[in-house]
Amino acid sequence: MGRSIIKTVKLSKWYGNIIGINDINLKIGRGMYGLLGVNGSGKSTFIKIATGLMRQSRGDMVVLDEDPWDNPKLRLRIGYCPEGFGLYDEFTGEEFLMRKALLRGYSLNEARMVAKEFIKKVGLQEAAGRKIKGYSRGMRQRIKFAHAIMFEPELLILDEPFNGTDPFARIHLMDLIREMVKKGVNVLFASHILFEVEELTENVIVFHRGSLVAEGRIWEIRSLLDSVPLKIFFRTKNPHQVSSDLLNLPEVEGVFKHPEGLVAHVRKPFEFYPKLQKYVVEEKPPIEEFYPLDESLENLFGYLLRGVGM
Amino acid sequence: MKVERRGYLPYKGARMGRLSTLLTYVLFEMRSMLTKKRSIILLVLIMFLLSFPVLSVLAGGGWQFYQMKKMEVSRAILSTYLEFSSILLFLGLVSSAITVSPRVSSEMKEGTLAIILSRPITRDDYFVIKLSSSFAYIFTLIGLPAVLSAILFMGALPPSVKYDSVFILSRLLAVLLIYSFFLTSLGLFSSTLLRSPTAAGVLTFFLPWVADLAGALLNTVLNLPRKYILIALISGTLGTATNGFVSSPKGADLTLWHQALALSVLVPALMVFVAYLIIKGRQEV
Amino acid sequence: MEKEIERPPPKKVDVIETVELRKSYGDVEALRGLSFKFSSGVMGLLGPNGAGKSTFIKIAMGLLKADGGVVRIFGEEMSEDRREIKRWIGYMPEGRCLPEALTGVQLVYSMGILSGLPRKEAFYRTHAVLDFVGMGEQRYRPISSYSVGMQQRVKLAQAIVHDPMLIFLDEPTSGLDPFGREEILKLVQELKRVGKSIVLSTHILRDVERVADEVVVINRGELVAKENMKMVMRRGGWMEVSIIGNPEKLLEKMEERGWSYTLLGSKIKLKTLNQEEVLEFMKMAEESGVTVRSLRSGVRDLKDLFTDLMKGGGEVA
Repeated sequence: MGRSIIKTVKLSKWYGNIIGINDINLKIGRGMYGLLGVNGSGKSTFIKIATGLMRQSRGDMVVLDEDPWDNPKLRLRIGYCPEGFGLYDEFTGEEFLMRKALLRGYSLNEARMVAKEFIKKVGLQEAAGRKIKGYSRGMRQRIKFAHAIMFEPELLILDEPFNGTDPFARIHLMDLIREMVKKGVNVLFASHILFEVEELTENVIVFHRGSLVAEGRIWEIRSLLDSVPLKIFFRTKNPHQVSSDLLNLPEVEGVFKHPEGLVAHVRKPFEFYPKLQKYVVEEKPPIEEFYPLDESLENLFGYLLRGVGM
Repeated sequence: MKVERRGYLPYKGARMGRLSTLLTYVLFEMRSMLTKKRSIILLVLIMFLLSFPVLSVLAGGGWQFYQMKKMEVSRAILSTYLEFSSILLFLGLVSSAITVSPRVSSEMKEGTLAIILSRPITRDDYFVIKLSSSFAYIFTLIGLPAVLSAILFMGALPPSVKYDSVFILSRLLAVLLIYSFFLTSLGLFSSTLLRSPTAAGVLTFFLPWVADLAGALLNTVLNLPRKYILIALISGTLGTATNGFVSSPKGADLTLWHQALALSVLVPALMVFVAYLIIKGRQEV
Repeated sequence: MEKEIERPPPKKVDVIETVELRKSYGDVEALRGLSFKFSSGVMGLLGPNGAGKSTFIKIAMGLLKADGGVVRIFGEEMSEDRREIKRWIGYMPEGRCLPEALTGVQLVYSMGILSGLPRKEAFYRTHAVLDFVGMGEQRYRPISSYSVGMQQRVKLAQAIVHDPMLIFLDEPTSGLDPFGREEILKLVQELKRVGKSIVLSTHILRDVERVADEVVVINRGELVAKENMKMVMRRGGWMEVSIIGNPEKLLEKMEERGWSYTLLGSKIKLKTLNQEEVLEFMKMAEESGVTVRSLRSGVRDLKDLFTDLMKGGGEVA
């Protein structure tokens, strides 16, 4: 269990004198990770090195215990869904998938069977016989996704997999990803749409200007951020009592009014939560709900990269 | 660079009527076409070429006209300028191919047509804008320098030489207008027909040559009279029409001239009409 | 110079009303009898690819002719030659649509002119709206050198240069990074605040949740749902709990108590608890050695609406 799927040591990549990524030390464990960053943060460079499309300038990367550069054997174990839309336009969707199966040594009939199976999986049956040229962006994403998940990869790398897809397709693709993860596939995916990342996984890796800014669970990263106090909302029938009790706790910096309750600004949330639980159990004040207000990935992203909330 | 954000400003002022809107926009289009580097290079080249007759009359004092009658002088001056016509036609073709014809096709390819048609204008307006701005652009490039040069030429002649300035200018202008219309129609036709700006430029440039070649071939192979072969009209007929303005033809020649003249206006008009139909009918904006 | 005084759009009418709108391309039916009303504010327009969203917008803008049915904008029937109505409308299309050779200023200025602004006013407003969308010195550079974020801003600027009352935004945040998205959404909210009506067509549900008052879902050219956002985002009948520590013991206790639950990632989803039950639950957590970090009643969102629609026969297109 403890082994890492991707491990990098001092990984750097320069393009001429422009830095792509700089000194990345990172261990990515099993499960699903979201890779985040604004444009030009080094996400794509990281993905390209991991898939062996590009070689690092310095440092090491180990993917599934192997060096990704020039390693066709490793390629077979990775499913990769690239960002762009440039596919083999002249192929039909079915031929595109069959091609991958044929390259793996399947016979024509077997390849057709496999292609059909995955086309059905991503719900493209109607368009399977049409040329990819005529596909919409959403359909291209789906065929790319089917291509990536064929042959049960150990690691699935998805670059902006939902770009251009409509909500129905998104829900469908997300379910497919969850299903893969349940089967034990490791997933690394990059996305600009933060709440979609949040919906799929808690684990994120944040890049900014080529450096690693944070790695871990969203709420843990948020709680560890000392610069901005965590805002915790309380719904209660007795706000006066609760607010004066909360102010007695050393971690609480202040309590403010909110149209539907109270908001406490809390430092060191890890020490605060157990005290809060004890307080609720022992003092029995009428608390109906409590939850952190600014724990979303969007807030975290803003705090990390700009020092302010979004 | 960080910009201080300004709030939203509502607009309470008046709006221009339809004609003023179209005119202002045509001027904007023309200006943005004329201020392109390629247009300026072409314009300088054309002006340079057209400065030769003026320079020669300044240097020689126009002695060759001393013994000639008024009409002969006029014809001689006119044919001096019409000798430039083929080179003007060529340079006009180049400018039509590289500036006019990519316009509509790039607007369709880049999707600009959608934001233009979302404005309070109709497709007819759009067509009028494109036609008139292209025409004005081409005419500015090849017509104005030629007319200007002819005026300077006449002004440089000694007072003893008599000539008919109305005769010269009206005919020169007529020829230049026909050329400009021909070149505009060619550019507009290929740019509405083709989606790729490059392909449209290539078509604009080569269509006349291909038509001319095909006409010549049909003429020799099938022995058909050149003027009746529609595709051969494009350059052959223009030449006939142009010469007719100088030589004031008579009899059978006059009929031939009228036919040539009619065709060199009708064929471009047909191309413009096709372009109009395409713009009008294009669904995907 | 001939001038026309602007006729303001009538108040107290529906901004958009469509009645039985139909449109086919060849034998593909893009719209089959679309009818709805949009009174004011921000309307989210949702639907799968090919549902007819873009076709509807183009017909509502007068760019396309409908085969049947009517679109009324501020109560007036729309068609291509209704110039006075088109003045009330601004349009930000999806994808790349800007002429690459022009600069940002030239493009916005020319669109101002085409909308009937006199030259000086067009120039003044060009800079005003470019300031509004936050374009800096880049406005003087050719559009071919712009990033996606700058292109989106210029696209928005040209849509509002003539001060329209109704603005169509087609995928305004597509391709943007989180900061770029945030900027555009803030501009949309600002436009809403100054009283503009906005139709926001997008695939990103969270954008609609953020700014919209109403949501219209269309599929296969028909209206599938039209909801008030407040109704969509109502409280669901469940609670979501996050804990620190190993949940196994707690889950066992919950089973003993007879509370059924589902796991959503690391979150525990269970039925709504009342006052005493919350206390009981917290005690259970304390006894199981875990710490409750968050306990909140679940809120429905657009994704739930979509999931319901998918179950209810809305097929994946």
